[in-house]
Amino acid sequence: MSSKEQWATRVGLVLAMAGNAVGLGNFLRFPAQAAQNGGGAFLIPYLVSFALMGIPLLWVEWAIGRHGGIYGYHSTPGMFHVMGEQSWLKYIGVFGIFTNLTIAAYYCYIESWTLSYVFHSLIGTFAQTDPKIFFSDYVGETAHSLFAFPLEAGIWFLITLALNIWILSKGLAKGIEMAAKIGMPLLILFAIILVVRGLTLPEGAPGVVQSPLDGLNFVWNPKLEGLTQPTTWLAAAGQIFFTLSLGMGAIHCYASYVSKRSDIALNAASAGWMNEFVEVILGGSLLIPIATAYMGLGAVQSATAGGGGFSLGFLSLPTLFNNWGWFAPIAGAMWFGLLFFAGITSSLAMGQPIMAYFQDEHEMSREKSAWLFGVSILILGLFCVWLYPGGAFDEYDFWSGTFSLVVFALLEVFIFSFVFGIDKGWKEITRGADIRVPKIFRFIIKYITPVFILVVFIGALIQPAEGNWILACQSLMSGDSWPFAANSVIGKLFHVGVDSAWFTSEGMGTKVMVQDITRLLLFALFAGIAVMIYLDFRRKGGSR
Amino acid sequence: MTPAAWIMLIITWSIIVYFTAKFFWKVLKTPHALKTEEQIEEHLDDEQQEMP
Repeated sequence: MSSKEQWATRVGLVLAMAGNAVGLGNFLRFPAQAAQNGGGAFLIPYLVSFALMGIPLLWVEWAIGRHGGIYGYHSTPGMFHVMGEQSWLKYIGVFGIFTNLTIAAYYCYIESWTLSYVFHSLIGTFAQTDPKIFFSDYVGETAHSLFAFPLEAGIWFLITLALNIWILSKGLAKGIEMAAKIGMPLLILFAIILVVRGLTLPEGAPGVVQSPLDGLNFVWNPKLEGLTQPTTWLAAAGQIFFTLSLGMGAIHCYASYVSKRSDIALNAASAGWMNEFVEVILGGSLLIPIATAYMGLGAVQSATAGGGGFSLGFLSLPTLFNNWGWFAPIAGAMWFGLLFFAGITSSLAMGQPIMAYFQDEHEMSREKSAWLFGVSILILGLFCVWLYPGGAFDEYDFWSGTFSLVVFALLEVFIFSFVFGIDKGWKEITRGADIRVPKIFRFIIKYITPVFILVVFIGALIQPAEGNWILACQSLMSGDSWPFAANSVIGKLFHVGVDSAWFTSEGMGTKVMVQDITRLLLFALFAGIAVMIYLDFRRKGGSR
Repeated sequence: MTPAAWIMLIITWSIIVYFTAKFFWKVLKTPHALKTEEQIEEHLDDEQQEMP
């Protein structure tokens, strides 16, 4: 249970942490969420959530990580184990292994799409083929089946996985840190080029139907009535939560390699604000303005109605770039390239905690643990690839990429404040700090942040149909049942709004069957990790 | 762009650029941020005593 690995430079650490936070959601999800939840007014609850939940949780996770690292633990089970005397604490760390493993499985698959799309942009595929048809073929959706084994998607998935394993096996400084030092500047450079090109598209240029500034206006025009809607606040808090990669165990892991002599307060703040720069300034100015210029605002509004920008980013933008003449393949490669860099810096952060666990608890070499991570992701990922048309991908995303994060964050902030103790916790955050952390954050961490996360959790748990909380309350008051939204946790769990039968009348399997089997797999995995932790800690002779 | 949209954009961008630049500049200026041995040892002693 020892690791001599350290970050080579402070800048490298901050870039790696920022790279962990910056993901595809910065460019695809944020602009759509902002546009659909009050426009410029969305930024008010967004920044409030960043101050009251984002930054405090970043400090908590960095502090837990560095504290665990002092005792030789670089993954969450050990880190929580040394936070108090209770024997159950180590099992909270199951989340930090489970979420990284399962998110990496489907995230590497999306990452492989971006890599493949870089290639197809460069060879001009999208000049001849409609990206919508291309995508359906690519993931095997056209087979009209619950199952698919798309050959090309599978090959790109393997390439992406091999790249992740190779970088991870090179080590913290020579692998992850180097990837962040290359990937993050390139990502920012590509984004700046595309933002400038997109926002300066003149009306009357080939294909341009509307000013790109109308798209920017769609993102930024404040609809102040949105501030009175609980949905807007929940969406803003949720976005902050996911964009900073909180509640995963990846931040803890990276921070555990920080020298005991080093600052964490400034590093955490710097990485957090860098993520905001990429998300709000670059992410908010790229996708929607370009799409508006070529598709018109009406089409963009309907494409982002669900609060996501996936269809614009993958299905529309490749065609729109064709209007840029000789620059089209380069623009496509830059767009998907920046998404790839955003993806790989995040997936590496998911790999490290898994490897760290096996290095700490089984004294496994870095290379071996990198391979073990790769094989695990391959097995879990292939399940996702194979059952993509049946909805396995969405199940992974919901239960591990959304639900599990919030639960873990809620538990960790509670443990940090009330089990570890806010006095020790505050000392841990401020030890060696290169900035003065305002004392008000001690109160915020103990009381405000847990309440904030609890509200997000309850909001996700019982979100009403169409997000209409007032109507739902009225419905409850009048003696009717609470109208759970299909995408609320309870709605998902009980398949609200869909027939929950596993088989059709013809005896064919349904999507519900795939969803339930996927849930069983995820639950079994979670339980399996808990058993592994029990056995590993017992083997080490710990009585607790 | 409406004036209200411009105002929101300029205020938000200013806040984000200010803090991003401020903190990252500080990181660049203090590449190692070493603390004195005494400060660290003092804390670690406290920690060890409180450990279960």
